[in-house]
Amino acid sequence: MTSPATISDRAVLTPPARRILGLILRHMYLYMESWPRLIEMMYWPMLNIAMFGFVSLAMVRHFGKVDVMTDTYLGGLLLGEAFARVQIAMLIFYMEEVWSRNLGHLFASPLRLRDYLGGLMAFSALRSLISIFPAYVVAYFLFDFNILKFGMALPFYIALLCFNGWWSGTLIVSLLLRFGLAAEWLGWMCSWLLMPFMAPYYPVEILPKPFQAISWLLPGTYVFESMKEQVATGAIRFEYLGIAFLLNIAYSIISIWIFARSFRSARKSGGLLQMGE
Amino acid sequence: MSDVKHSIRTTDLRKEFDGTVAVQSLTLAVAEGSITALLGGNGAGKSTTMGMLLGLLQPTSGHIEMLGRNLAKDRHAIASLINFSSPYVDLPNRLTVRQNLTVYGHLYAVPKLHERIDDLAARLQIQDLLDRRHGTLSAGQRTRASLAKSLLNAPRLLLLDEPTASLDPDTADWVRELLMTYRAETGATIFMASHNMYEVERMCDDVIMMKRGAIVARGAPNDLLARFERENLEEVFIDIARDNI
Repeated sequence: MTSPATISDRAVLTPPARRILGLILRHMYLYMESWPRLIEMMYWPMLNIAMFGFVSLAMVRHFGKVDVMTDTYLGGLLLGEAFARVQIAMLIFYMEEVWSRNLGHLFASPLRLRDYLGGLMAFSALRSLISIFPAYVVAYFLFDFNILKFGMALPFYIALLCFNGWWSGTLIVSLLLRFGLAAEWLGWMCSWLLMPFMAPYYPVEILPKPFQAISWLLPGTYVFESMKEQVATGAIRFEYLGIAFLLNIAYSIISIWIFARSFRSARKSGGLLQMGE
Repeated sequence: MSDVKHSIRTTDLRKEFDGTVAVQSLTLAVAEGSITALLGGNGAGKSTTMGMLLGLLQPTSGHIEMLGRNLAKDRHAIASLINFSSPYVDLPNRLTVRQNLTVYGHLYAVPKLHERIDDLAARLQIQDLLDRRHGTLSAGQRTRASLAKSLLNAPRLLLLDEPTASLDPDTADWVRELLMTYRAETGATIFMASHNMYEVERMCDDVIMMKRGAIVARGAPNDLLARFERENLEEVFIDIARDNI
């Protein structure tokens, strides 16, 4: 059998990229082997677009103001999916390990927390891109809505909303690490918690005053405000996108700190060994 | 001072869960290249000790040194040189054996991964199982797949939790042979928790018996039999468990 290696041998041969690749492969294999998972991944965004798209059409016929209203609504829906799917993908990434009682194997390996977070982010971006693409196609063919009409702002909108999904997803995973499976339902619930405050389809001013205060603390709100402005006047609010970026950076630092603390707490309580089906 | 090198050294290790002491004042040294057994009844502190050695549990106090390095400071460097197998920590059931080994091969940065997987599959006689899902394997097959994972990185220290639990006598004997061959060929250290006294007598150079989180007896199997004037380790185990000694 192969002789045991030394620490110096391995130090050269253990790039973090390989560990992140291992994590991504673990989940890719899972999806390749499971067609129900693949269907589920694309089903909800498509259903949301189809259902709420028709609702918006019905409202438009009733109230008029066709273009602005449908475009705001569909734009908000499609971009909102980018945020929500990233967040849910992060939750699923973690829960799959809990369900398969695999956390012990993972964290007894040379995997570092930053690798794990890297894997979480890469997988969630990949999964959400795959899951929202069919919804974009549905919006195009059913409602004649082309997401590309946002032009050069579109990559910024999607990237900033994914960024928002990453840190909020990290907070949800931290919650599960800290409180174990008892908090699972809370995790699913939290995946939708921020969305109403971000005002994706309606003006922030519609929200009650205390909610508005929360709203302006969220990066996603600035993205949706810019999107709505662009639909109405064609102008992109770059200053809003800048604020969203800075807020994302600040919240990411906080969420990574909370994640590291939750991991330490799980190591103290035995959570990494005990979590399972 | 002894010239013996140690793969594991713990000093005054203690672990409490909400005020309940699981492990207390655990000071031990496991010689490099040895096969050492950790024995004890349910709740003796074996799994907690294993969890702390794997870095999955943070000790309340005390110090752990593995392969000459401080676990608290060099956990990731140490993790690349050790590995473990436990029937209580599963591999993903929906992945095939090959997929699981590929994933862990990347996590451990195993060089020439595909060759390594084929080599291990031949050694562990799991070539036919490589493309089957882990969840569809029998207990014996799962144990062999899990052992393949634990040998992927050719560990210098192998931690095993009940390596032959729920295996038929033939498969269990085969696993024991494999582990002893691995130790003989590589000089690796094997530290294992077991409830199978026959296995411990046959494989181990050193035995550590725990009760209520502390070490209550230690020595080579024959030394323990002589000291406690018993015919086999099972009798020693039962006497210790029932406070007859």
